[in-house]
Amino acid sequence: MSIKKQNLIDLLSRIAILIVIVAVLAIIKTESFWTKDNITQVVFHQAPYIILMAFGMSLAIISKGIDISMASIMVLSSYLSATFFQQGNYILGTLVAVGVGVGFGMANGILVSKVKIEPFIATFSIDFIAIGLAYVICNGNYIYSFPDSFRQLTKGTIFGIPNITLITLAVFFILFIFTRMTTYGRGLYSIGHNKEAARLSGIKVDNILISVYVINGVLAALTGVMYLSRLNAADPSIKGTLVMDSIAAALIGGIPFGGGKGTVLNTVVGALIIIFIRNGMNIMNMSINWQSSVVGFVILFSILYEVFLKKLMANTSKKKKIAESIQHR
Amino acid sequence: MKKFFVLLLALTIVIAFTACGSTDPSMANDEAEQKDVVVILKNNTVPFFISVAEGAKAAGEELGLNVIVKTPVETAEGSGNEQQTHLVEEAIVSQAHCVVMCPVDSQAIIPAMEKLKEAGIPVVNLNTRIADAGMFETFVGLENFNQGYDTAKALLEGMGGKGKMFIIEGSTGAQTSIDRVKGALAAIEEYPDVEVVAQQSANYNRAEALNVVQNLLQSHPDVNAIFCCNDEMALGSVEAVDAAGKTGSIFISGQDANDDACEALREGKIFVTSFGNPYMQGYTAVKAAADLLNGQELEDFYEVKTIVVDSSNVDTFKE
Repeated sequence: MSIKKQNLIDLLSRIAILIVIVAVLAIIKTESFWTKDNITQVVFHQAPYIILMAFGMSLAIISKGIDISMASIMVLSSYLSATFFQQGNYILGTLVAVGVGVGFGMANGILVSKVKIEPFIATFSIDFIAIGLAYVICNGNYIYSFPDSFRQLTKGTIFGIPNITLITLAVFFILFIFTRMTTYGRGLYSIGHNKEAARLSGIKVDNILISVYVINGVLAALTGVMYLSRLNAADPSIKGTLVMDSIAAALIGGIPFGGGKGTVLNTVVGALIIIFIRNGMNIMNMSINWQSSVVGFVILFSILYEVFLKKLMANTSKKKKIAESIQHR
Repeated sequence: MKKFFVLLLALTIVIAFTACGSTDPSMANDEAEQKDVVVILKNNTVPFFISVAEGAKAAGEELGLNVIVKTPVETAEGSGNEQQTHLVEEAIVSQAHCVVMCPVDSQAIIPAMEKLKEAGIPVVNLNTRIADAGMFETFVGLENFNQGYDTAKALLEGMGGKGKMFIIEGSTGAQTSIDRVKGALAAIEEYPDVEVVAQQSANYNRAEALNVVQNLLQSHPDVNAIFCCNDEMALGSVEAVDAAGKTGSIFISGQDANDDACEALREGKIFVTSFGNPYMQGYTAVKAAADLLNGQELEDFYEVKTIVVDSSNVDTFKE
């Protein structure tokens, strides 16, 4: 069986998991879960943030790295740009947010590629630096209340579709095309498979790695600005469990830590699974501790499932080969 | 191109660092005759504890004590006990004269407190009670139970003593959240027509509270009030209620009376919050430590009164 077919089956089965979760919730809690209002709220208003963050995490994981620093970069860039957005100076605000994202992303990328520090350690230290700076600058002063025009970013719609959903879709298509259809992006997968081999075959490993972390920085900045608009406040403590959630989204979606596998479509499925679990358990008024346990079980399940799938496919292809060799005799 | 990127990187870092130049380093007064009081707080990131630290330092300057404020790096409410234990050990090694302790976890801090006792260093307990009363000389703070009770009472009166209610808890295991919820439930018990239809944690986090309340509103769109264990979650709820187009018809309460919550209160988006007077808590704790070091008799409990803040006193409560 070809790798392409394997990946397709893998993705489809994860979509099946998502459908099962949604179906179960729809049956248990028809009147409050299975409503147009709830589904649009979850998919269009709650999911974009974790999806965008998980996109970045997925790119890092595909390159056999990880980016622990995204949530802190998000917090720092949104806090630094908040005053500009509050004053209605959108251009400067955007420049500051993106600038911080690109700067810290670049730092990550250089540390990982040129200095050759393990991605976990490099981004871990950048994480501390970014969140520390955010707290120092904030010093307990939250920035609150933004102009209505800025809040339209998350409140507004175009042709009935929320702006943030459109943004997320646009980012999705850009990343999909970048990673699947450009040689530059395809290099990302080669790096994930075998960095040295990729280097020897002439792929610009360092450049690709740096651009991955820069993209992550920009995604973090974008998410941060969207949060400013959604929460009507700049508050460093919103960092919460976003990093772990986006790692979980990538894993559940079928992007293994081994690297070199999975697409951003997997990420979307993984993020939706998590956000639907949260939504469903809130609606059923179950404790937050159960939510963590359930997400943990789903991660574990998705990894065991992957092992199972691999074995199954290996077996079928082996049988095929044996059958073929028998025929040849 | 490469040079340009490096330049850009350097520039961003410089901007980031100059932006934080506004905070001046705390002055270190190492005069030999000054006694050291180590103040261990839960964190140095939320407005509440920053204000506690300011109060403690001000009292230290006034009373001629060398006040050293220490906090765990771990900022999530409910965690950080491990680091607080380390800070206690540091205080023992540096031979502090008194420790003002504000524990993250009332139970788990006890082994560290036993070490202080062995070393003969007296403890003033601040803000959150240590579970073993034999471990400290006096307690300074407010009763989180009362704070929860008083705020909930005002909220219940606001909703007319009947209807449905959400309780949004803080981080699981955080003592403040446990006590405030207990207080709120005690108040709710007095109103038989009020039903708590959902009780969920949002980890003291604005963004999480927004999602949780949005989700809860799906199953209970007819809710009348939301009791939140801090202001950040109350403000997250405000946005969820706003997104559902129900601003004004659902009463929301917070805790702490932060600046942004007060602004939302003026706009009528939050109904009530309560002021724990953190500055006074820090100040009183160091004052108690000074009295203790001067050999004066201490009372068992110095209560810093909470003030329920609503639209009538939002501009005056801090005076």
